[in-house]
Amino acid sequence: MENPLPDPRPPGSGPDAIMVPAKHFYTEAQIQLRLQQIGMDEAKDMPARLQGISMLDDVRKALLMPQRTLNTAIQIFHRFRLLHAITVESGYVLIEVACACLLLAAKIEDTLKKPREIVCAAHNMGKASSEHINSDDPILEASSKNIVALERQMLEAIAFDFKFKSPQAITTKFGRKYCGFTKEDNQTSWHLAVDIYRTWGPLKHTYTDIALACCELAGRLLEKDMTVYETEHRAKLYGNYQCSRLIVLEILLDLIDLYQHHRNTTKWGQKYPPELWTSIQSSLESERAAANLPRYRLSPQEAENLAAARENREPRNFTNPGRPIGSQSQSAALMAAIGARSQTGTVRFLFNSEAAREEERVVSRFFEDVYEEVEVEIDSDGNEIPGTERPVKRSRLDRGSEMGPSGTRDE
Amino acid sequence: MLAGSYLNQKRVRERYDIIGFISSGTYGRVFKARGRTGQVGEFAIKKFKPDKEGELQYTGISQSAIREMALCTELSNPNVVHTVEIILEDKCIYIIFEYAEHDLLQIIHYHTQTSRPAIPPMVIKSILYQLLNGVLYLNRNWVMHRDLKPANIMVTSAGAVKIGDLGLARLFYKPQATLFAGDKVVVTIWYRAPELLLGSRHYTTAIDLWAVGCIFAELLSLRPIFKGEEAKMDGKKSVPFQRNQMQKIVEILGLPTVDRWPLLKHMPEYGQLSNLAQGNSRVLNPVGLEKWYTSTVAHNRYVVPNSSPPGTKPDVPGRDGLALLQGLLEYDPMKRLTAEQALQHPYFPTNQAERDVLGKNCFAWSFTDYPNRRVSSDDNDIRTSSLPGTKRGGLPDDSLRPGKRLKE
Repeated sequence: MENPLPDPRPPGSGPDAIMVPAKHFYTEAQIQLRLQQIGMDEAKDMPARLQGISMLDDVRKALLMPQRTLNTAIQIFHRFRLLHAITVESGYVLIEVACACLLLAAKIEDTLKKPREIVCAAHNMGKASSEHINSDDPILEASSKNIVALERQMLEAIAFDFKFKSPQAITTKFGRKYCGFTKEDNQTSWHLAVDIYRTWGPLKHTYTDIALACCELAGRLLEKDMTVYETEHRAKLYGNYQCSRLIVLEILLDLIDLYQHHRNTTKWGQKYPPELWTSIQSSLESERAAANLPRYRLSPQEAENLAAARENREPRNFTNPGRPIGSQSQSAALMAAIGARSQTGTVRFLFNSEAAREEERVVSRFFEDVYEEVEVEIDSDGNEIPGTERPVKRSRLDRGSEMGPSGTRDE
Repeated sequence: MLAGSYLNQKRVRERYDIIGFISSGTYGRVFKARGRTGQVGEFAIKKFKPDKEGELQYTGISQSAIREMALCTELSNPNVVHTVEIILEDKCIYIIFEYAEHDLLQIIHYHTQTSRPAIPPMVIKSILYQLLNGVLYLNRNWVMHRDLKPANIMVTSAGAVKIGDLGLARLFYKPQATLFAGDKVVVTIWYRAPELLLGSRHYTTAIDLWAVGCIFAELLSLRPIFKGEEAKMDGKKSVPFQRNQMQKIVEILGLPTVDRWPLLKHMPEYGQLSNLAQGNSRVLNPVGLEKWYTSTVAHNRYVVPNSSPPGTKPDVPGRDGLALLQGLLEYDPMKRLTAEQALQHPYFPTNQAERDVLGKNCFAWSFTDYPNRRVSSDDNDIRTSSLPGTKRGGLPDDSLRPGKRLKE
């Protein structure tokens, strides 16, 4: 039963492939939306996040890997958690996820370690030295295989974008140059720039934004006189690095949130009394209120999406002319596609976002689902009463028409 | 846990028609392909080795693949091979590049046949100009190529030179450890700079320029200038001193001296230099680069530079060519020409219009129609993996060349 014209394409393949134009930064709304889409929220994510990061830190210290590798590993870990919920049901084991992040980060940052060495260090963690095992112990076979398998999903999560910048070095540089910090003062700003990785900060902001915020917070904690910085340097630095007061306040409030609510898991939170954090927070909040700045840097639609995600409801569509409404369902579709694609499909990574957009536009024509909802009155038995249909003024696009929500910062 | 079963995916083939197999290496295999969905032109698909091939223990995506992808997706220069996209299949990664019909190795080989003339001097000049342009772009962007050799320099049928295979390339901006700590052995042996042979832990972009010098010499003489034999790493513990390769260099350039290279005595393998002459008289009676150049040029029936009138005609490699070669094959990496300096060398024209012509099409001065890249169509199965340890028969040239580079 030879087919005279064999079709080289396997049957039933969906749209040509999925493409993920590399996206380096997210907004708070995009993060919360993604969490919601995988059945998570900030509260559920937090324990895994903090525990995972502690594991990453312990293992990388045991392997003598530098801060830079840890930073990259956490970046990967954050991005992974935007695609996959680490829960009992999902089957992901936190320590294995952490090890896989470290495995890939080590390759990216030129601090190569074998999967077995990483798994071994994780295994020996917190055990007495008499119980330590070598990296060639057969016990490690299964988990070292697992982390290698997980690596593929890590690559998807970061969309082959391997360039992560570390903020610590530039933080100390700014501290020294603009705030008059001594070496000891810079210890504080350095550690703030380490703790920021426990928030979503590195996904939302550039490394210079983070450095500027950490210098400011260090100044406040150390009760430094920052008037010179504020009067002479701040505006210039904000301009040079495309930063703004809104961004810095967002980072600072995120960081202080972390210190207030998770003091014990951070390096620097415990050093200061809770009252100090509260007082810094209230002074920042009043500055924000006085300047009438929003808590997050978002477009109006995104702000609504975020509020909806927090309250676990459907977002209202803002009628904001000029802003593509498809953007939200777009990211949903993209997300769902990667998430549901499981381990068998193909993901393409394009680097020309213009070409990606064009292709998406063509493909989406064939997958657009526009439908109307109608309200129908029913009688007491639950039967429809004919002739009472009324259209509901809401149409949903399953695939958006435009890519790239404005208000995000693509690099 | 989440490993998932390996399904024989063919998704790459939905977008690309595989025309045939081009070559293979430590990284995997390269195929020639045509777009299926309206993409213009032809493509080279590099398939990184999946876990089933060769190695006993799959350790995930290789660091070299990560480096290549990280660099290729950010770099954009007419003299560096352009990356179209990356396709991720189950445990299998493909990078799609623009296709180039020729490479320098193939061009050199074409000319080695006795009946054929040497490569026209202007073709060499144009190739070198474009190559240096690419190297300048890489070096300026903190990228060291670390594996420049004729086989890795592509030439399109329109005569554009493109640097390819960034599998060993890396960023050298503020490295965490010495570059040596990351990769013990870099650069294919014949093109390896003396500071690498002498075991330097730190090295600079000067190693790329040494390789460019070797390529320049090879374009002139049609055979590798320093064709040494690689000492194999045994025991995998320590890197052996590449005695034979060092001898080949010294036979032409003479022994390096502390006078000319002040940091020489701090090289880990400095001690090895003193007994280099044992059993090899030529080490103490080096040819000298000038004599090598003169005889090469004469042998290729170019006009001998000494007898050529002042204000050398452009179709002769000439005195300036020798001076450039000397500047590139300089022992001391600090004194070796940088890509920028090399491009300003009198060997190249100063007139911008002439330079633009030089940078466009190296075949503009060629009388030869080079044969197209050999593509074996009976081996175009991108899906199936070969048996462990077997190597696909590549170009017949492969057997003559030390194609492998040691990795540790």
